Amino acid sequence: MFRNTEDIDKIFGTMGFFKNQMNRLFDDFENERRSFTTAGSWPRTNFYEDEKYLTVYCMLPGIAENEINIKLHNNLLTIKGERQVDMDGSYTVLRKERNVKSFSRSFSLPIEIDVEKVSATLKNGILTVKLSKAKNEKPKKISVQAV
Amino acid sequence: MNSEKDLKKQHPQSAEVLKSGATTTPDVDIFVNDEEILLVADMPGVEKKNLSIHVEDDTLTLEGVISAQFEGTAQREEFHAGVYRRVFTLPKGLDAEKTRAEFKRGVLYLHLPKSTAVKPCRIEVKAG
Repeated sequence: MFRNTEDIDKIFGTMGFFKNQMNRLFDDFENERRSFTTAGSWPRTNFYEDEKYLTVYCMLPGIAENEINIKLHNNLLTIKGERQVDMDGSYTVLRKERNVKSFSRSFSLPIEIDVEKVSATLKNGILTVKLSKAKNEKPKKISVQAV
Repeated sequence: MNSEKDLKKQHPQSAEVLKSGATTTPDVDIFVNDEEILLVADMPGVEKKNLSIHVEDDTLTLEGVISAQFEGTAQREEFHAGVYRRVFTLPKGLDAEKTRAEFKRGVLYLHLPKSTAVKPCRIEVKAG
């Protein structure tokens, strides 16, 4: 049937190729889904970076400033708290989509932070944590000298 | 089969909106008691002046522009600046004139009072 073993190798090679392609397809599908459902990651958080700061933006609607607890320890930033529900008992629930449970998220920061220069503000339900990069994290130009 | 057509008829406002930018659906809780329907919507990042609540016939439209500014380049993004938009069909028997809205810490509280005609009332039974 096969003229030589080379043909068999080709067939198995092609099968292997397809197997990898299919695996990649499934992996992509899974990854896409994980980032799409945000149930496990509340509050939604954005990280922005410029030369001086690493800024964290957290969507925390309906939360007072004294209900948020931010901790920075060993480059691990933890934001946690609890949303108070101030609803009197006369109401019947028709629909419940908003997350009311307590929340906690930790982020391991990729860079060294100047712990003394951290500020946090809360505006219209968005928490902004400004983390100042440590001095030695700033890019340093190294000049090359001819010897 | 023609359910899609029916749906469009019922919600003329909920037909797809062609608008630039990302549109997000706010999370909503709805409560009801004898006096009113209370709608609570999470719309973080919206300024009060960029929030619009529109009632037309039995359609309620909530819209808000996220005006939060992000500084620097994005390293990780789980939400985007854009527009919140959600359309509801209101039941009959609401007093649209007396609708009251509060916006606090990125949360909208919309009180839709029931009209007096549909409020439950107690009927006393007289001894005959």
